[in-house]
Amino acid sequence: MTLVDRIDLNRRDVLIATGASSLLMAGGVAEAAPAPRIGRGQSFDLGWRFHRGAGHGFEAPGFNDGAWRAVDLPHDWSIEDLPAGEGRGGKVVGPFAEKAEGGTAVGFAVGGEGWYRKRFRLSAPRGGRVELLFDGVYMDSDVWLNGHPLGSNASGYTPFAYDLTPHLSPSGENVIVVRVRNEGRNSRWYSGSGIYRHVWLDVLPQTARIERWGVVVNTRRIANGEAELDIATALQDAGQGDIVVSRIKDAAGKTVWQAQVPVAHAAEQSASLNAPNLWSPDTPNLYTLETELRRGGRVLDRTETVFGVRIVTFDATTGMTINGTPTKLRGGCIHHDNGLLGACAFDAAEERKVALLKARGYNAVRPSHNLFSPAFFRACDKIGLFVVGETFDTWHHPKKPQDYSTVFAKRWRQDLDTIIRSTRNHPSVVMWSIGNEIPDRNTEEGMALQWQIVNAVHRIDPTRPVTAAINGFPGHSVTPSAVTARAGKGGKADDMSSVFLDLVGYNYKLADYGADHARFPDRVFFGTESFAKDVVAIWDLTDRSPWLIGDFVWTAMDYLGEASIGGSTLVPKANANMPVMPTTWPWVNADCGDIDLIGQQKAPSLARDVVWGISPLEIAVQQPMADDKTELLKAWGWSNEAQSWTWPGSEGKQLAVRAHSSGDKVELHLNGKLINSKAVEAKRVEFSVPYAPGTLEAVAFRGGKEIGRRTLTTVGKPAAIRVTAEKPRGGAGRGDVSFLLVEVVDAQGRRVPGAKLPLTASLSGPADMVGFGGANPQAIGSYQASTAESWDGRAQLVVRGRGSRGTVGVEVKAAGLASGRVALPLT
Amino acid sequence: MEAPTYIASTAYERPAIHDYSYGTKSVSILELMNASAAWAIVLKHLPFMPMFVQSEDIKPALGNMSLEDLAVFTTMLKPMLPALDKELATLPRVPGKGA
Repeated sequence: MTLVDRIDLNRRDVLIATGASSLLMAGGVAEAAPAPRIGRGQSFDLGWRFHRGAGHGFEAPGFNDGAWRAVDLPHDWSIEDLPAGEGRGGKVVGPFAEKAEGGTAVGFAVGGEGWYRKRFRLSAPRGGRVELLFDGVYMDSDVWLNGHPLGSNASGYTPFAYDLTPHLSPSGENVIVVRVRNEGRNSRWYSGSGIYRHVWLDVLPQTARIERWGVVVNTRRIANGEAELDIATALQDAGQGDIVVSRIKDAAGKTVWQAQVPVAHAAEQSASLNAPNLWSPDTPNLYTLETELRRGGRVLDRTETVFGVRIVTFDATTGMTINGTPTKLRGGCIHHDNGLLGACAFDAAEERKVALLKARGYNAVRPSHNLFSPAFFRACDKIGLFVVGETFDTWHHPKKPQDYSTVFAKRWRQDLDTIIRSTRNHPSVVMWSIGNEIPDRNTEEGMALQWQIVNAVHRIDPTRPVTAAINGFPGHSVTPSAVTARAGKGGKADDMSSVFLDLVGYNYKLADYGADHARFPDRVFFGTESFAKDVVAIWDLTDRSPWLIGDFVWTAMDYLGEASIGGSTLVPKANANMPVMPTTWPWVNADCGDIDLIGQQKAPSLARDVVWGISPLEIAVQQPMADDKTELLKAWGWSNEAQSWTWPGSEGKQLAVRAHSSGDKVELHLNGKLINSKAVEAKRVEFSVPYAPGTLEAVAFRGGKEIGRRTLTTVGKPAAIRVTAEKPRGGAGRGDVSFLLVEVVDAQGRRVPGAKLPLTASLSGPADMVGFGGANPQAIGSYQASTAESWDGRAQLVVRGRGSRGTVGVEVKAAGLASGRVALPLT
Repeated sequence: MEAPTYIASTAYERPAIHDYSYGTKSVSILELMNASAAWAIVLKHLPFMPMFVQSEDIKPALGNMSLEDLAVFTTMLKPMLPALDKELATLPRVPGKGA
């Protein structure tokens, strides 16, 4: 039952048009936008029209948008193929332009201006309230209803809402118009452009309501098999006789606590749960708090707040604990894009991203460097990842000329408030980061601002510590007074960058950990960013140091933008000592992730599997190179290794075979013959092996006992395409996306590593193809066309439901190979 | 087990800033640039620095990075730092504020 259904309706008081929306778009939209009803959180994603480009008069209600394209949300125009003439004189490949204003930072994607219009039928409920909530629009937006300006928003990541009530048309025929501008150089990574997250409509029968993000649940105490919770409910326009009913249900839907109080007592309630199912990444148990605002027996408003019962503590002596159990943050940083889907925050894509990290052993994520979508946080709660909730990438000084710093002074308090209030009930969020590598934080002005932001956070949410990601120079030594310092820190020396922080995040400062711990023995700190290549050293220290509570690698997953900061490059051996710089066009992808752009495991992740105990042994082979070349790693790089023993043309050539193991010795066999046996040092060992097709087998030992075995086998030539749905069933709704893996396989059905082949896909049934491509970090084509190229023998295909159930047939062809087919039921 | 709380403090007083010396780890690149005597020493040892600090990507980070931090990303810098440190150490210490 939905929130819409559960609100007690008095339909005589409202004039809600019934039937389907008057706007059924032609082409690309098969599902009608449902007519609004009374209730909260009604999807407003369907039935929009879109125009890429600027114009005048588009906000006018009578403007004829018949020529505009039909789109459903979420929508990101920067991931769509560029229209002709958008190349600014440079090359254009799919959505990427060599001369894109944002350059390497945004992965050569193009922003600009776009307009959205949506007609809908809704009359103002007499005495009621209608509000529209945008989960996220990148970047600057202006919204009109029936020609009346509702407001503007300048943060591309924070949600915002407008009261539609005063401007709804008496006729019931309305048009909402959104102008979005993503202009200038405003981002250091791929941002996407447009209404890339969901939009929601609230229609309430009275102005009285539960304040948006006004319910908060915190665990105060866990003892003797009981949890004590603090519940606060903020209301708007509630009357003296109104009551608030609060009800907690467990995961099975059973009511485990409830109370009914007059509104005057709603601000503070206490609840007790017997034998609570505690939340942690290992046991992500969730509860739901239902809150109803009632007047005379009628339900005026109703919300559901999902929360978890958990207590998280941080201490330099005991480390980090979750419900009393010591834990470490096995973390990864990620940006918000969803690969081939661009910034579109489909719920299934957000959940998949979280699941991919979890499967690779991560128990923590740092959504960098901004608020992610609600679906992302829900997935972290449900699947079980700790989250560092990050707020800003800049304060008052810019990193890019048109970035958030241009509005920071005016907006930070409001945006901070929104970020925290909208996210604070997620049990996954265990701390707030007030900034990433903030410029000028080491000045007196920056220090004062640090104090203001830290304390602003604590006033909104006193249950979580505050951190920041500090790179490089932490500033000079300072001593705060008792009145200014955080509790217990008055009169104690600290660094300017961290003097008011509860926890200190370090970016790329492994070399300083030991010395800083000696200087600040009661400091709790962790790596907010680190290089993948340091994984062994970092975790060796982290595992034995309670004051070091974890680490977040940059990054857990490849992302668009910051093109080519990872990976490696081949140079003449004579240039081996030259600095290696990131390459530029046509690289569009950072290429520094443990997981690639389409969700497949990369070589650094193999090492992490061993370090984190997921696997006792993993092996990979460095890509063969010319004899006069050497490989240089980029700053965030990793050697170009693959789990492959298929290197045609390299017969007899010495190849580097690298093993990571938790054992003390690794033996390497080629075609049944022992090549070498080596001791493992720092979980790593390297062999040089003359390539010969066949079977390469590594065996790991500890104390003479075998603990693991890995085999790589030479595969045959490409013979067929295999298509596999990641899940046996997909969602049929317009907001549902399903992911399919496309592989180039040999006659025995084994993936052919390194295979780069042109592919052509076709679909039948009730779905659209919204993504098709490989993980190639370079721009090689569209992400939305029916043709793509495999990368390392793989590609990804993403389909989006049309709103009707059925079976989608997917066929992928490659010249000379047997086609791959799959039937995917959408329900 | 009680949940910890993090309480906002009530008033801001600028923390006392301790005195410091010039060095490749003890000050930011921006501070070196703003101290003519120090910058002259840096340029003597690292003549390529003017080109480096003009980079649009680097400019925002100059206040956040010491030369030693820079060496994390530019390995060729590392061997040059000891001699630079030795000479920077001859400059007078920078007095603190309110310490």
